[in-house]
Amino acid sequence: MAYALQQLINGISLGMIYGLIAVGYTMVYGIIGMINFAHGDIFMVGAFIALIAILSLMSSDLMGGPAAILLVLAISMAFTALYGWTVERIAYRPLRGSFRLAPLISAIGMSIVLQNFVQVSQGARVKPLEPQLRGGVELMRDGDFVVQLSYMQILIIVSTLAVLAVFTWLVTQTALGRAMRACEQDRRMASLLGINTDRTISLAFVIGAALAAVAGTLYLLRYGIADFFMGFIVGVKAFTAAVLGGIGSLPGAVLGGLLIGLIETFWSAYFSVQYKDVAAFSILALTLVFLPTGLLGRQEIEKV
Amino acid sequence: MSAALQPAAGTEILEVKSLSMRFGGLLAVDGVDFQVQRGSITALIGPNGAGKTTVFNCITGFYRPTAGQIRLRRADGSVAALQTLKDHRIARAGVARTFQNIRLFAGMTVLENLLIAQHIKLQKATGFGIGAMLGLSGYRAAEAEAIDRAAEWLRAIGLLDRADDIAGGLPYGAQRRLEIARAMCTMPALLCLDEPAAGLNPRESDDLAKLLVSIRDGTATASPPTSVLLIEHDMGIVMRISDHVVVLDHGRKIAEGPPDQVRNDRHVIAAYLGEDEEG
Repeated sequence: MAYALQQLINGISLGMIYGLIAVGYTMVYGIIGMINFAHGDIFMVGAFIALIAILSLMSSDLMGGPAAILLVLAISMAFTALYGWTVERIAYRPLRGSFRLAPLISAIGMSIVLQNFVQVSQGARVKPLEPQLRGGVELMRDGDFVVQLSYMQILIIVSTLAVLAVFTWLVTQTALGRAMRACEQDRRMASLLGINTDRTISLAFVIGAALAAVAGTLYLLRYGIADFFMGFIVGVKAFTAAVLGGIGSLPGAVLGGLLIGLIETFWSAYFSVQYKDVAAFSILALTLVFLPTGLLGRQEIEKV
Repeated sequence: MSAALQPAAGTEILEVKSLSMRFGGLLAVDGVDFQVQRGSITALIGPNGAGKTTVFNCITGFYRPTAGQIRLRRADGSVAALQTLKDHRIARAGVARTFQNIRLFAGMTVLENLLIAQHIKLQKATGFGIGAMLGLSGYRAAEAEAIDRAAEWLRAIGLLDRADDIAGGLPYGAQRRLEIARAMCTMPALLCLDEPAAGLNPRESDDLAKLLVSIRDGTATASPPTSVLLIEHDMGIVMRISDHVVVLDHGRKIAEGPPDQVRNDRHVIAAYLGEDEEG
């Protein structure tokens, strides 16, 4: 029981990170109907920028405390957003109106470019980072087993909820969010009503990258490692989460992320750690076969 | 009703000059000239395949014409060359349009549909979203103003009580009216309607005719009088509300003038009844 509770906590905090990334996949898919396969690498870039920020803060003895972590988050979001914008501008926008597979192939290329860029500029070794946030709250004690909600997990849960709250407000309540939803439904019509759709699409990439930066920063702080290849497996899992939740659905992405996080954690806890990725990707296959629209996705009805 | 406004000379809002559009080997529009007078309802009619929608698509930026000029003369005297502008620039220049098939944002609410049409203004007022993020008062004021304008139009089309319903769930006739209201919320100088009466029952057509006249005269809401260009197959409506009718056939203009004159034009009759005569 205590063990299961601990796994639940671990699963939720991992799932929230997946959810943050999945939102980026699903948002871009919703607006321009492409899977941005470079999104996982944007997450990796976010982790690296956070690492650089942390190390420079440490070298000037400023690291420590929540203010510093907030600063790191802000730096990572700002720079990663710039990467997101650039990727869209140079690799996807010129291909708009081209055949459907073109931006997809370009995205895979962009993913390789980002990985190699980081590998060359930062080195191929795994970068360790000592824990920045130690300790936690003891929730329950069962014999020797202590159920702990670490401060790190609290940080993940609180900051994810805060970021998602701002994001939800942005999409549902503001003019910008309305424009994004309009582009999602009928881009040409939105354009004819005066909306600059190119800019709206750019903003979707910027926002998606900023969310991925939060995920990257939290992932780095939680697991204490970063390497140029980390975006691949995490990215594909977040993609799985987006598909499970129903690609195109924002609440679905968060729900899917939580489910994937929980499934992966419980699988590792009760079955086999080695096969945790297999478990996660089996979900992808099963979803695609039995529930192609995902949990919260809507049926696409083609008008004739 | 059609005689309400006889436009004075030299007050055209839209000038289409030797407009041609070629699709591969097909010359869909062949050197068409016409003008839309400020404060008028101008109808573009013609048999199927005459090139009406193509002309429309050129004016509203859907197609880039092969040759010719399309000039929009705004109230402040400035002129926009529409054939050179991209979609969202055309809307900003002051042209709004609807389509033959309904293109509302079906998954969004009625009110949201009208707010999107005011995005340009809102975005400027909000400092491109940054102001909104900080909850600045300017943003709130702009949003409140946008909602007021939307409410005015909803009252004008009789949908005020459905403001928060999903647009896709409205009856067909209401969706048609909502599309016109949405186009008007962009505050255009020229409103272009592609077969607005298609699929409407006689009562709804009647309401539509009244709505269009009130848009022309600026009595629908507090917004200023707006010139209207429409394509329409329902001759009842065309003859009743148009100030000026332009007739196309096989991509060329075969007649134009007041409705009564056009109705009796032998080229027009020939085109519609299919006599073997070319004008």
